[in-house]
Amino acid sequence: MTPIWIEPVAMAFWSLFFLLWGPGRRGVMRNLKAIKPGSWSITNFFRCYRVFWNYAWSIADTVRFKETRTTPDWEFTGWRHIEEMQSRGGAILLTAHMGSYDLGAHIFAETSAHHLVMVRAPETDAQTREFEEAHRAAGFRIEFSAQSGELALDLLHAVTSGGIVAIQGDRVVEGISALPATLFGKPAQIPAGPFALAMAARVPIFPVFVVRRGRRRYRVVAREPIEIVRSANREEDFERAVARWTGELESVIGSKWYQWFAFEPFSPEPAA
Amino acid sequence: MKWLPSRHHFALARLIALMMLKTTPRPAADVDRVMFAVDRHQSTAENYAVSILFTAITTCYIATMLPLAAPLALVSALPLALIAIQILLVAGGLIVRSIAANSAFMMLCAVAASLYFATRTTWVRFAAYTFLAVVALNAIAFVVMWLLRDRVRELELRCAA
Repeated sequence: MTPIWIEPVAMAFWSLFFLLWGPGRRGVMRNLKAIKPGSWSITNFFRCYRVFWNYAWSIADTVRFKETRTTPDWEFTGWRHIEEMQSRGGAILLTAHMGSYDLGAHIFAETSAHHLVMVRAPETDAQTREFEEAHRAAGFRIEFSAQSGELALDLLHAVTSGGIVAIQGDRVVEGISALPATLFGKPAQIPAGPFALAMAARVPIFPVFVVRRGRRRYRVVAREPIEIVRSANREEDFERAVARWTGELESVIGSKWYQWFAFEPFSPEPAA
Repeated sequence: MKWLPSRHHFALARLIALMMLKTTPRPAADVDRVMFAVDRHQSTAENYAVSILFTAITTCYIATMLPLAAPLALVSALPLALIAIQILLVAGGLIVRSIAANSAFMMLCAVAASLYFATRTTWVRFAAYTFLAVVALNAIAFVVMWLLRDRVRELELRCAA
């Protein structure tokens, strides 16, 4: 029951939680070291706080939206790509752990004529799962990435019937098939699912990022769609698409590092 | 659109917004579309300004009660003020489970504390005077906005059209 005008104070206080969560803090700092080679650890410590601060705000904005339908201000860059995705239907929206995935998906579902299927890591807490289910928008379905067998068929059906499937493509969780990639010069793995789905359904992948710009202010950044052209060499086709995707990721994360909510090191290789 | 009075909470902020309404905010060059929410808690500047003012006066009031020299007391009082605000928030929330009521409760606490510290002879009275002056200005702005309510509604409708 926080008065809204006191939110910045509450957020500043609670985001100090980052001091207590060692593994998360170290994960962010290691990623920052790779994003900003040669950066000092002390500087990255404060950058790390900025990441947690933004994360706290994103969660607060998402919960406020779900509880009271408080909508933030939105800016769109690359609107023509969003229009293209909306007009064609049957597409994959590939994004990253940035801004607010949930908030972006809800806004998209509420303003789109197409059915949106959001794929996300399974929610382990039963109460949170119940809350998510009770507060989801109309025309919007959540699928959990752990149900890999049936999920692939469901998603294929959703895309071929004109739906839009939203997937986060910057992190691989256990049990998910992955493709090798290079991110900020380090070996990394990214989920194979969206690329396999795009190839099977013959639909483009639209890189879309939700970036928090300030208090209750977000920007949707849509980039050129990635077409996966089939050739005799499937691996090369994937490689090309993955390289395009990691290029987009690097360009957005490189400038908006304080928005990348990856609390585990993205690369097994220690940063220099 | 950014300066619609409806996008502000306090009367003083709404009055400032009304005066700024004629300036057209330009989105960044790389922005193709914008979607603005009409919500009285939307203003970043207003929320941060009130939060900073509230934190600052709480820090001053706690500092004056510490047995330390003023600069050191102020530094020590800041984390204590953050904790005190959290306690006040939770206490208010436990009494009445309403954001509006909790908000009013916190403001009443701040006004009561300011009235008390305004009677002191030390430097803290200036902090109290500042807060009470802002409260008084807000009250005047409330009357002005009430008198202008029809004009404001008309201007906002023109913006939304």
